[in-house]
Amino acid sequence: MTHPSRRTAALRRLPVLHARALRLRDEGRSTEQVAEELGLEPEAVGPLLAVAEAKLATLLEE
Amino acid sequence: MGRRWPLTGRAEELGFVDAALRRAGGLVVAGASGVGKTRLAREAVTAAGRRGATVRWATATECTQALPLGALAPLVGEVEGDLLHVLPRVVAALTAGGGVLLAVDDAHLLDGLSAAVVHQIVLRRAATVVVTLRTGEPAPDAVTALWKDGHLDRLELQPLSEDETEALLTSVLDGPVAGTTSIRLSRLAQGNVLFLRQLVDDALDAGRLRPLDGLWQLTPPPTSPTSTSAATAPELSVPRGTMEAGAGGRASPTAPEPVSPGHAHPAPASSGHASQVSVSAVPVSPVLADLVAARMGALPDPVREVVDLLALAQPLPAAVLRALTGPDAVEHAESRGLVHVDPDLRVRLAHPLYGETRRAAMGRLRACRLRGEIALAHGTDDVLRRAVLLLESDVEPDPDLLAEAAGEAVRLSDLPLAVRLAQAAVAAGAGFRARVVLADALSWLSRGEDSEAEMRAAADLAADDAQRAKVAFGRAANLFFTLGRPRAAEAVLDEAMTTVSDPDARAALVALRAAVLVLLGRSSEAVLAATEALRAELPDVALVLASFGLVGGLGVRGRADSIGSCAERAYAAGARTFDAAIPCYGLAFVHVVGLRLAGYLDEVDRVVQRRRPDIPGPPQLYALSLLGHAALARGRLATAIGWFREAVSGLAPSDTSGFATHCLLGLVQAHALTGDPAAARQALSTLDRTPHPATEFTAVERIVARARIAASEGALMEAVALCHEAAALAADRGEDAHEVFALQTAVCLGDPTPADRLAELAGRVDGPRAPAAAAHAAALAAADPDRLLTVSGTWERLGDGVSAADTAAQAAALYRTLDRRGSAARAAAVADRLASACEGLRTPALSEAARPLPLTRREREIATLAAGGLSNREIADRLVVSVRTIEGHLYRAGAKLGTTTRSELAAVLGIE
Repeated sequence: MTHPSRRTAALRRLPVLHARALRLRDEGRSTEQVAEELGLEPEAVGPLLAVAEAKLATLLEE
Repeated sequence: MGRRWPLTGRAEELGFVDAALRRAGGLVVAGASGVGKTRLAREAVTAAGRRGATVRWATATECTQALPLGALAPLVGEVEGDLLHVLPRVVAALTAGGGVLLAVDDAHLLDGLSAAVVHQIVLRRAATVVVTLRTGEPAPDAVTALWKDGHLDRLELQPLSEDETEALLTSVLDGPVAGTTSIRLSRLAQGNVLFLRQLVDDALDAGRLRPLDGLWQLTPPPTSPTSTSAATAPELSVPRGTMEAGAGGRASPTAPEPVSPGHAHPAPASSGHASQVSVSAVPVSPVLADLVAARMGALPDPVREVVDLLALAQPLPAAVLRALTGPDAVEHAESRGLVHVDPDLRVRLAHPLYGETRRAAMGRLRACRLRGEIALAHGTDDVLRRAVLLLESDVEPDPDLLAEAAGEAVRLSDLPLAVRLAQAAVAAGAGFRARVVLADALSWLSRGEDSEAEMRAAADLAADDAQRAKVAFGRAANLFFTLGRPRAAEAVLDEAMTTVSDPDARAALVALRAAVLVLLGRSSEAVLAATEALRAELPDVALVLASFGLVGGLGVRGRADSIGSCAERAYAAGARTFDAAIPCYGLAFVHVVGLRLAGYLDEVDRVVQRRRPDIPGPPQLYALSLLGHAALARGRLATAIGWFREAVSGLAPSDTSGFATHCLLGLVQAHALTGDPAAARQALSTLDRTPHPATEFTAVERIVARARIAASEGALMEAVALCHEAAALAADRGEDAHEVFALQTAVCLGDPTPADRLAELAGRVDGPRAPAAAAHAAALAAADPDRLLTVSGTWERLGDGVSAADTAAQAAALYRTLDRRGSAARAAAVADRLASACEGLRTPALSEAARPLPLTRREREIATLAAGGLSNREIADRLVVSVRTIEGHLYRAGAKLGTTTRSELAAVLGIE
């Protein structure tokens, strides 16, 4: 289980849109809401989150 | 430039693309121009080709767009027949042979027929397809259907983060890059690899990006233009929150940091250096200008006016922009993606390079006129912005406005700007206030003599006790910190106490005295003076300095639990008053010292992270120093060395803030802990050559640092003796927390004798360090490896990685002497894991755990010194024993180890 402060610190190091997408997802927003908030096409949200998760995992492993 | 730019920071994206291609479906890679879509697709396609795929690559352009099958024609040759028959033939030709990977670059520019072909191939799964396209650009329906209808995933490629940019720069430049340089380039390029590449190439060509002190750094231009508005090669400034009014118009983040870290009266490095770091040193080359212009596209005059206004001052309220350019122009600029509109309807440029390139192309007269228009249209809510704009226009100067803005610039830590504004205010006829602001800013910029002259001029204008006290305060601070004359400073304070009778004004002078006393190592007197001063209603700057005395004094005396509220109150004062902001850096330093000595390392991180000024300049270097100390406290040694080196490089040689010496002290310890005594001694030598009145505050730690060097050289007993010398000094001064730190270091070096004293101190020193150190010493004294391992866990939880590793290593050695081999191996593994996290940690305890030898401590010490190259005479002199004694120890060590020469001894001891 990752400590919340570590996760928060790692989120700060991500590209901005990746961090925002993960935060919105963590807040329980739907794909459409995330897309609207970030100005993305809804179809782009899933891949964006997948890459964001992968980058976050890399940072947490460091 | 032939420099190779690797694909860095894209590992996860590449993994995603690769997985999509392996599924034999495909992918759409979208992103802004220059973000690296094509490069990413190329890498993935090349990898697929190596796996056996038949790669076919097509590129769509505006030229091919006009021709049916324009983009695909080079791949399929001439195809005859009507549309009904052509399409399947082209599909067949493109996918012939099977196992095809079709890549289409810039697919938004595909002609209709080519788009239909790609669509068909995807629908029929006749080949794997990867297409790139530019986000926001219209694309043929057949292309958008690829992801809209769920046939392919759409990956939106993001600009590189600051971390990723730093990794890329480090790779390209083949060496570490200064953090400030990396951040500046990252923010200018906004993660756009194309821009980044051009920025780096231009800076290299201009000789502005070069290695200094082992770090790639942007360096100042040969001459320092004061304005960029009409220069042919303007300097690029880093985008910030509230405005970018040319090079001179540097301002703050939108919501200025409540307080920036600081020194009691930190006199930042020279103004020359400040200009080096405050305004970046990258020229706008024609190539870069062309790249950015191409990205912006052709600008109709009204839209250009919008961009030009924002290039001079941003953000601007939409209403102001509309009033200046008309309603349609702003909307047009937004629809073209040239500007962003915040939720509160403030408008800013979509990319910092837009402003830079427009300023490069702007004539001086036009820039002056536009600045004047903005200032007059903008209203009165932003004093600093209006003052800077008016200063660079031909409007009549307003001395009161300039003086007020100078104070605001100081509060935002932009000292060169503060000097400019204050000088303009004085020239325009402003009085006492402007002169004091000017004197303070000059002092903080290390221009102590100039500051003294301004202070004397201000003294002639002082009309009452409050103003007389203010001048005395500023003079004493300048004399102590910037000019390094503590006696003269105390004399000024003494004299002022005879002429100033107002109680609150006198309290402010006592506050400064408290700060001076704590830095002179007189913590007891400092606490008394600070306590007295804080009973009065103090102006904010005096409140910060009194708090400095109290926090610094209580911290080293072991009362860390009592400093938090005092520090927070002072930080709040620093946030609201301009001249209290800079001293907050120094407060943060003593605050960090107190928290670190207590063992509150999470609190250390919190204090440090809150003080990261956005504006480059000396305060940012102070922040680097704080980061270094936070990293050192946790045992992140390489990280600490990096921060310290960068800060020292920026601050030296004219630093008068004391932060350079703090950094050097940190470097000594960090180098010694990584087993590099030569580097540690070099840093110590530099430290000894740069005396500062504030270094007495860290006198105890300086001795401990020497102990660390001795330990890294193998002179263990000498190191322990130095720790006891440091502890004795701390005890003499009543600095309990420092005493704990010194004795803890001795325990880490294998000396159990401080057990009783640490137990006594643990009963009265705040924080978890003292009880942990006492438990450590007790376990070592009892030769109890189980307890040592428990203490190692305690250190690890506290975040003190070095102590945790040392304690585990000591446990491993003890287990081994008890012949508990399994436990020894486990403890050694723990020590190894902890040491790895410390980025190169090498200590005597770890060496002993790694290479158990049948030697006494004294034999090991002497053998290590001999293996390190010292002669018997040199060892004897160093350890203050006879040469015969040394020979005896070496003879016994050689007999036990089966060695006959020093080189054999070195090999057995693992000394390179």
